[in-house]
Amino acid sequence: MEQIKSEVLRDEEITKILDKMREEYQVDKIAELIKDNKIEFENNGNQYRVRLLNAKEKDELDMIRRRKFGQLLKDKDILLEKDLMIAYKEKGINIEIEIDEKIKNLNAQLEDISYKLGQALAKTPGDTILKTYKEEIIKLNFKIRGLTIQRGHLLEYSLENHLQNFVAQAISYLSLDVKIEDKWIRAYTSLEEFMKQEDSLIELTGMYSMYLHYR
Amino acid sequence: MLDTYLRKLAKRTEMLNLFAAAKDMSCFRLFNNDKELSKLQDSFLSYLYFYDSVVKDIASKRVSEKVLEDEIYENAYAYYRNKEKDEIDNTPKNKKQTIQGVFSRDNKINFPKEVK
Repeated sequence: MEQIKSEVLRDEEITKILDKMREEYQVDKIAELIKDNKIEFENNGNQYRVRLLNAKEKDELDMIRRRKFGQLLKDKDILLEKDLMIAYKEKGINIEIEIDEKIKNLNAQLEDISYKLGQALAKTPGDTILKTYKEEIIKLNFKIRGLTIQRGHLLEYSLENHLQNFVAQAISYLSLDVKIEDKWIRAYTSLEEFMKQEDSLIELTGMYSMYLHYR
Repeated sequence: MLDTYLRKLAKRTEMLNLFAAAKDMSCFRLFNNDKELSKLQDSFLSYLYFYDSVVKDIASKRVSEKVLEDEIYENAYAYYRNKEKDEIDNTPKNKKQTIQGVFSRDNKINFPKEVK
């Protein structure tokens, strides 16, 4: 029994150390990205990099975005967020009252407790009071996150959401370069071609390009 | 997760030292680019400013060092400090300069008087 216990503890320790190492690796990667707005990585034997878009590419992105916006506007099956909210209201779901108002109230409570916690930290804080405030904040954040996710699900098919997802893909495609014979060139000639690549490449590119362009 | 990584990086002593040096001497640089900061760099700078000021606040006993034990404590302290600053900025004495009208009834420009 004792041996099993000590083995479990050892595994937990190993997991902790590995988590810490993974985190340190990620922090170092972010440091690399922050230094010059570029990050290199390997995928399936190819060397890639994601970088900040230049002025010309931003113009290209703007053109792609406007074209997509026009297409979405013409699509009768895709509603603007405000119209989708009206449609939900007619079906008995009032997003403004049931979600937005609640989020607003919870945020007001969050600000109030944050102020009290900040004030406690600025005075002589006792651990109990700090922990009490912290737990209240965690609960409030949890509720806010839940409502935000619910709102996101309800409005998933809005025009705005379609456009936002599309723009994120377009930024990823435009910011990805591949190294060929020691030269960096744009990895794919079109967004469609980029989207046909394996998930691991799309996900990594998406993550780094969002870090750079959206935060 | 990104926020946590940015915070961890900004809290590193070598980063805070580099930040302090870069503020005073142009030969020290945080980034390779001089202009057009990315959103990521912008956020990172905000964290550096924040941690730099928190370390000073801790040193001058304005806040407990416990503040750096938890992201929730850090956020709460940032909120509290901003609120306090807003209140000080909006006290009548500090507001006087901005409240005084720029134009008088006869359309002459009245430059705001310095508040002593």
